[in-house]
Amino acid sequence: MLLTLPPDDPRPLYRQIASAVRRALVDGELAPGAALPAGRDLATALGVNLDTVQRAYRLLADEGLVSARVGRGTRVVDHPPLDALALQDDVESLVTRARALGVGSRELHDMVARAAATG
Amino acid sequence: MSRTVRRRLALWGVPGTIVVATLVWLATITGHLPDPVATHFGPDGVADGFTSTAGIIPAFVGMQVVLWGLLGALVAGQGPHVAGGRGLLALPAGMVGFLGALGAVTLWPQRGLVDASQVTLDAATVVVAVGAGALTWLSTRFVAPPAAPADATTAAPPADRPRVPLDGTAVWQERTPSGRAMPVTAAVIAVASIALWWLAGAVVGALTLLPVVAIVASTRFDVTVGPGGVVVRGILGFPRTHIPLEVIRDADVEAVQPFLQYGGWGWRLRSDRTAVVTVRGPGLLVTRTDGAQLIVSLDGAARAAGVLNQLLDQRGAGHAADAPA
Repeated sequence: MLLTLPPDDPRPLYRQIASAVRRALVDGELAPGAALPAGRDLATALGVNLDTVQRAYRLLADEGLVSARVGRGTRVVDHPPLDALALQDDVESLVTRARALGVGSRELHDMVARAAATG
Repeated sequence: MSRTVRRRLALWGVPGTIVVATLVWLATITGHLPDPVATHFGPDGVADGFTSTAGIIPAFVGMQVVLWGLLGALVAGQGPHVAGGRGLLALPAGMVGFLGALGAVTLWPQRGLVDASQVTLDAATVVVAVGAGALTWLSTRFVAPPAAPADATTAAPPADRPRVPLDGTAVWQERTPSGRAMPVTAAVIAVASIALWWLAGAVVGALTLLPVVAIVASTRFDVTVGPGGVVVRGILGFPRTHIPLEVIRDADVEAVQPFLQYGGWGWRLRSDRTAVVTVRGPGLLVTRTDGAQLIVSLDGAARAAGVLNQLLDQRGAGHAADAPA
């Protein structure tokens, strides 16, 4: 299993790690039901704090992509929503750009809704 | 405290102190023991083997010295860079500590007795002796010096090493392939444990599960490669080793034959190389700047080596970019 983190990504590291896992799922590097690296191993191999990796895993768990169980580690769920996954990075980039431009979340939400209605 | 002093303390100082302490203790207690004294006990805890009190000190201390010498000779030859070296250096002390504790739990109940055949040994006290040995090993492990630091480098690996193009940084992970031999061996010993449990009681049966745990811990390993280096960890969480990227010279692929090259499977140690080998097949070979090597059985060894060499290239390029113009 290969997780890639593109250069010059302005997002916090934990979001980059979560994004790498999503990308691995979409690309087939990571299969449904497969185990993610142990938090301590991934943190050491990346040269980051364990807390950063755990934050990334919690984010993925909140998205319903992975589940963590004591003794079994963190695993991809059996039926991850792969279609929506491919969009997640775009969504995060859009939100980051909107914040940089000072566009509020309500306004962004309305823009997306209008675009979806007319598309 | 220098590395040499710590190494000598672990190999000589701690075991030597325990041997002397055992000798002194035995000398003081011998006068209070029955003659002959019980030195062997059956599965039911009843004494069935006896030794004259004159032979106690040569027997126990002799065993300690012989095993100290044998184990010490085995582990002293390991290179200073071998992964797992601290645990190895602490082995003689652990064994000597176990034997000393075994002597204590065996002889202490016999103080003041006239007839040694009256004494029975509770199997739980053997667990105490094993625990004392384990504690001695663990403590001595902290005395032993950690692996010698290797020089950091930013040099790129040779051009003929495998490489995998990467956009940015990457982390690669795979589990070592599973062989048949180790699970079969673990199952055989587990069956033997159950048989002993039935024949000789729960404690004896439980003790024989220890080798099963050791084998299961050595059956499969997770290998993680990234900009932080290489991590190899057993599926039970131990043994574990981490080689930082700064001290890695290059990565390559080499064929692995566990029995022919390393005398078996699992976590194997040679003076120049640590081998984490499970089956015949390709292996990821990591060479450190000090020349020591780690080889791990991996189906995806070529890809792992390619990722690692690419990360090493990036490390070198990154340092070149940071250097003042």
